[in-house]
Parts: sequence; C-alpha cells; structure tokens
Amino acid sequence: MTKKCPSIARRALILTLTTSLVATPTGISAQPNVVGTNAAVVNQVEIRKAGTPQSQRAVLRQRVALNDQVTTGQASRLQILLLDRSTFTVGANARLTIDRFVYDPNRNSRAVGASVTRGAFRFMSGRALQRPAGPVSVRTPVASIGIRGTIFEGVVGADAVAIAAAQPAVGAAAAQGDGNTATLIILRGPGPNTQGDTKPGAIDVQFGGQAVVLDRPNLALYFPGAGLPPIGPFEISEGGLQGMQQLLRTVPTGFAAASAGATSVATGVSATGGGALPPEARARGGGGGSWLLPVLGALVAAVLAVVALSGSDNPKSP
Amino acid sequence: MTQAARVPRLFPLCLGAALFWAAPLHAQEALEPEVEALVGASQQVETGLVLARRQIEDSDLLGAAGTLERVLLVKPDATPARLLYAGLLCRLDDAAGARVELSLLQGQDVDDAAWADVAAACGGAVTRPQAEGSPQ
Repeated sequence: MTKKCPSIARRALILTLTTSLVATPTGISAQPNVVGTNAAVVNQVEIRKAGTPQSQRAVLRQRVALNDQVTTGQASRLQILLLDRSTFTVGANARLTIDRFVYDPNRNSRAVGASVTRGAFRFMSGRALQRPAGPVSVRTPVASIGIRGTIFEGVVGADAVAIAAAQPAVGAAAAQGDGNTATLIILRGPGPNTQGDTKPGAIDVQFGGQAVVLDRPNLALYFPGAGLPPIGPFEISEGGLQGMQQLLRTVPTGFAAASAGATSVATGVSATGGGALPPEARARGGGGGSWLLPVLGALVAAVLAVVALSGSDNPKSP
Repeated sequence: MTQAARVPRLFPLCLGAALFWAAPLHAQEALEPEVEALVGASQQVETGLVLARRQIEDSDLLGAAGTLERVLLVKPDATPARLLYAGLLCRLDDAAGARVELSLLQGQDVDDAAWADVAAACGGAVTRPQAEGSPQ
C-alpha cells in the first residue's frame, strides 16, 4: 500500500491537472495581457486577437487584450473600460489597437498607449494616481496625443474632413483634406471652471517635432493629412460637436426619425457615422459566466480522478 | 486502508488541486470585480443612474460620465440619463456639450425635478427642452 500511494496520488494529480487544462476556456488562456473589457457593444464590432488572422464578433464583457485590433462597422459603437477605469469609445467604421498598458496603483504606475487609424474615438482618463504616472497617449496617422487627465475626442478620415469643412476657422482649406489620414482632435474637458475636486485636463498634440497644447474645452486642431501642418487651435462650433456626438454616441430613436437628413447638413457628418440609428444588436454574455468554466473543469477533474482511483482498486491492476 | 476508503479523502484534495490549477489563469478576471460591477450596473437605466449619482457624490465626475455614456449607448431613449449627463457635462465645464445633448430632447416633456438638477449644474448656459405643442 505504501508503494501504491505515490502512484495513485500522481495519477490523480496528472489527471486533475490535465482535465483542468482541457476545461480551461481557450479565450482566456490565450490572452494573458488583459487591459480591459467591452463595456458597451452596439451593432457590428469585431476584435482580432494579436497573431490571429480571423476577427471575431465582440461581445459584452469580453476581455480586451494588449494588441487586440478593434474594428467597428457602420452605425456601430464600442466602449472599452480599461482596468485603470479609463474609457475608450470608438464610433462607426473605426479601427483601434491598445498597444501599451501598465497599471499598478500600489506602485503609482500607469502607462497607456493606443493607436487609431480610422474613425472616431473618445478617451476619458481613469482613476487619478497620487502623483504623475507614466505616459498616456493616443497615436493617429498624423500626430501623437499626450493626455493629462482629461476627456478628448478625435476622428480620422473622411468624417474629419466633413466636420472640419463646416468650421469657420478651417473652411475651404479642409476641402483639400486627405480622406484617409485627415484628423480632427478636440479637447472636451474638464475645463478650468470644473466643479468639485476634478482637475482641469489638457492634451499635448505632437507632430513632426512640434507640439500644440489644447487646454480649454472644445479647442480643436485639424490636420488635413499626413505631413501637412495643422490648422488651429480653434474653438469648434456646436455643429461640429453635434457631428462628433453622432459619430460617438447615440440619439433618441424619436429624434433620429425627426431629424434624419437635417443633422447631416448641419454637422457635416456622413451617413456612415450612423449616429441616428439605435443600437439593435447588443451582443452579451460573452464572458459573464466564464468563472463557471474552471469550476466545472475542476469538478469534472475531481470526478474523473475518483473514477480512476476507483478503477485501480482492483489489486491486480498495475 | 483500502484505496476505496481513500477515495472520499482524495476527492476534496483533487478538487482543491484542480481549483488551484485553474485559478491563476483566471486571476486577472477575479481581481477586477469593480470593473465587472461598473459594466453590469450600466446595462440598465435605473442601476446606471444610481451608480452615476454615487460617482458624482464621490467627486468621480469622469467615472460618472463613463457610466452615463455606457447607459446611453445601450439605452439611447433614457431621458433621465441624458439629463443627468447634460448636467454632468456642465460640471465638467463643457456647457456646449450639454447643449448638444439637450438638443436631442427637444419635443420631450422633461421632468421638473430632473431639470432642476440640470439647471443647478448649468445655470443659464442651457435652455429647457420644450414638449411638443407647448408654447415657446
């Protein structure tokens, strides 16, 4: 008996570990560098895991990992809640990758980096740390935006040209914008008159060895294209803000029906933004019950181990 | 002791070992109950409003804005959430953004108490949406 005990224990342990491995959902084990979760999914949003050729439909509560590539379809939205409580919202026809993420509140450490190659996006800083931490930045095709505790929005591509063209400070110059790389960047707040303890924010827009600081809500900077000098800063009009609203958020369904057509003229936003459409396909439940899988795996493993041990109760068995 | 007799004793051991093995792979999930709670509360208007108001009380204005934006992505017809969001934008010194949100409520009958909160946050920077058919 004393000789069989290690053998039995070893068999049970091997069986247990093997079964647990098999029972572990591959979606989680394959993405160790989780940076956040899908907090709101509207319509067609896909995520392609780093190193994989195929995109998969994004679902609510699905983990987002480092270097995952997010793409959105027409009239679609995604809000990612990062582990540091920052939020990244992307609008229709956007492409976003979060390629750097470090967050350790105990060590007062944070660094976030993302790149947006097309579409509209909105970033809101997360939980404040006790002293200035690492860099938080967003790269676009024309500039890198350094973030200092703030809310800002941007749009890359044809919608940037459309919104900028309606701005008095830009006007005809925007008509020459590159529909692929033109970029509009807008600081939204908090401003100097923010109420409560929240500190005013700012962004540093860096391009070609230069930097422009936006430090008041609704100051904007427009780049007609890669390698072209920016226009601004200028104060964006409420029509421009409406354009961004349509690209990034949603509007009441009744409003959508009543205002269809008129808003696109006022804001310059193309129909591809699809802000007037209500969310209709909110996938959910992707990771909500994922804790159940390892527990089930463990139970199955334990049962199998018991069965294996019972089977070896035959004294003639090896 | 026979092996059969040892089985009941080994069962919890095996279960513990399996859980121990499985846990590290899911530790990152388990460590983020707060993120899960924030996401979960934002999927319904009522719970989202409760969360956002608590965040505002805690001076977490950016967190509250994120919550209300989630609510409005999921429930674009949630007028109370849009009103609270408009007031919050004013608190964040973005009165122009508040006006844009309020313009989406034109034609709707806005609750007096909810409007009082918006007015308190925004002062004279915004005008109350008028219900359809009401005198301008």
